[in-house]
Amino acid sequence: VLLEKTPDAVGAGVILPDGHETFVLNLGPQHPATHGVLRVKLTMDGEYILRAEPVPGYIHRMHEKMGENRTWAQFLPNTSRIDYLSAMTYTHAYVLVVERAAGIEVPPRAEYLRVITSELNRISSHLVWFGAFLLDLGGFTPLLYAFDDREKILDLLESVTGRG
Amino acid sequence: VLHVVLRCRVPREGAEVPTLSEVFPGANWHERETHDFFGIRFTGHPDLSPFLLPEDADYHPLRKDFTGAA
Repeated sequence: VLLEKTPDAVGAGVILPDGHETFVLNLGPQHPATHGVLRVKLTMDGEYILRAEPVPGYIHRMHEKMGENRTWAQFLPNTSRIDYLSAMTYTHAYVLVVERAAGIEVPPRAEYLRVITSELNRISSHLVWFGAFLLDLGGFTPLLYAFDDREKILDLLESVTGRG
Repeated sequence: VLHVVLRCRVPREGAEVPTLSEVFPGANWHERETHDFFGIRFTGHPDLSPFLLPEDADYHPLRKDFTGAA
């Protein structure tokens, strides 16, 4: 039995022909299989799923809106998301290409900042790998140490960029 | 292969166009997103409830007169 959409209760409390009553179960937004967040509203008949309604908006940042009142330099193409664990590195690579094409030379201070932040970001990215890898092997504690150190780096990157 | 781009103008107030979702099922979510962000109603759409916005959202943030949040 596939239930039609019932706008008010999303299919909860419907009595099926066999006398069973449906209920709604939320899968997510956080659950053990997620990388990023997705919620699925499930209408259940016991252990059987009758309807699944994805709710995908949790990580939408309305980036388009942010771009409405920023200059180009404040709103670069979002290469950061190519690898969200290593965002600084990708932005670094992007601006290097633009600068080479335009023949722009940046001050030494900017070069230092870029190298330092890229390398810090490399370390924080590897800490996630290290922690998650050992977690997959069954050790929980290393993840806590890795993320503790990673947080210190993210605080630094946040002070440079304005966001974590 | 034939590529077609269809553009149409709608009035700003009470913006409304017929849904394409019965012809192209993949348009369903695109139309919900467009309704979320621009407030364009797709008549005949099976479910225009908020998709990427919170489920109680009654605003359309990509309209240019929606300001103050960014």
